[in-house]
Amino acid sequence: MNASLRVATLLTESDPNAAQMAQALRADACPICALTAASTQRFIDGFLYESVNDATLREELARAQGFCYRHAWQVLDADRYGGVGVTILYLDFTTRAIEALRAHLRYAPIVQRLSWWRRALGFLRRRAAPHARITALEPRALCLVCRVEREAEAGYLADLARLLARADFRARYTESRGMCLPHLRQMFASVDAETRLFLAETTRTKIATLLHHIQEYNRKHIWDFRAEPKLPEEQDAWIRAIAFQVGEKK
Amino acid sequence: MLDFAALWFKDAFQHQGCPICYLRARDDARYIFTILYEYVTDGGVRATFVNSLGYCSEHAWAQQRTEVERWGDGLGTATMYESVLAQNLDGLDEFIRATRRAMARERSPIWRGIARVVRRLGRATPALPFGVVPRAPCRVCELGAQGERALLETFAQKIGWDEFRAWYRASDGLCLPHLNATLERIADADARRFVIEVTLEKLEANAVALREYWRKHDYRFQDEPITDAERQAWRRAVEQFVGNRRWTQ
Repeated sequence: MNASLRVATLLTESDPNAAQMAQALRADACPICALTAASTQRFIDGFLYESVNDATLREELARAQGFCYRHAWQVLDADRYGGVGVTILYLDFTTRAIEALRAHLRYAPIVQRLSWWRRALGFLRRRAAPHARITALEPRALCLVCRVEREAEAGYLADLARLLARADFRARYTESRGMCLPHLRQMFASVDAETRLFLAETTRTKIATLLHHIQEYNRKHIWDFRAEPKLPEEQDAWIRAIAFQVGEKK
Repeated sequence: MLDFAALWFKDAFQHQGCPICYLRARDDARYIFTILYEYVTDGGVRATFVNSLGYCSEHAWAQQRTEVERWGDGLGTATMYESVLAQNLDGLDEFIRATRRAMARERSPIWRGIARVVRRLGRATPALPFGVVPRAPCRVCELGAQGERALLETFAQKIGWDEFRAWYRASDGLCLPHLNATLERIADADARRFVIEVTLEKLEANAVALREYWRKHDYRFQDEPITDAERQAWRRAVEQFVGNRRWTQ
């Protein structure tokens, strides 16, 4: 979106959330995916810039054993300071893990001697009892970034649900690429029947168009029709089909 | 005993990162490639694909990347998603009909009277049909989890063998999630101790590298050269905590 259009949108909207949603609806992506991803990235950037040494957040992160798989790699990619932030964080987590493993090795022989009750329990349940995991290495809390991401996602879904009561937003939504299926499912559960019907019908029209583009893309791969030019919307239809099913690439 | 599984592990131990993560990612990638290479038009595979409305986010985008990297276009994926989109349309049609019926019912005075008494009825939303929701989980995840269980069992059996232990000690070691999943399957106290001790060695070595990397960012020591191990330490630390990076993100 060009700058003048962005300014125009912001000037006509007194509600900043509405202005933000209007911008997201102009992008070629699910608006909820796009806004949530931007919000999560902002949080990670801010965290790496000024909260790496925040003791409260560090404790919270340590309880979750750092970040989840997806966000750990996202944080690593976001560290633009030569990896010093990630180094500080993971030195702390590694030190804690080393302590946990040392403690486990120290007390394992004692626990082993007392493990007759585990075997007895396994015998009573008629299956082998699993051997001990090191519970201190397991996450005891949700990944901090996952929490931020979920909160942001819920907020944006609520914003869009509220804004869809307005006729101008319905028109914007109809022109946009629309929501991906995972977000649509969440939205169906939280809006009234009339909005649900609007969303389902709009999505149906978009999917029918997408299916037509995919069919054309496939047809033009057939030898007999190879000379027909593939339109831009046909060429990326298969990528948009993936994005509709699972959301934008994370 | 030397068998194929032991040799897979021997190969995996020579790669960077957790060997279980490496083998699982290799198997997932092979499955996606094989489907695209020769099962795009297979009826059974297509039915499974449609049942789960494609793959999960991670594997759907991995499929897209695989096809672009290998064939430079998206014909295989497009063919498979044609069926999924048709199912989406059927599901949405059913949902639209159900929503219209519910709205018409809610307008009738008799229904409103009943709904006033039984409050739950008044708020009832039609169930989401197949096509809007999947009927099965992602097939790549399902097969991957199955394969991973087999890998963990194999690792737990082989770790009693001296040669296998030597290969393992020379590797980068297991990531912490796979360490715990492995310990759950090892009964022998000596083998458990060995696996934990190797993990401890790897974590301690990386902690030293992390500390050095951090120290050398201090302006007083900035002239000291940073070694390769230190430069890789922060990436290695993330790998130790969450497992190898799957696919090129």
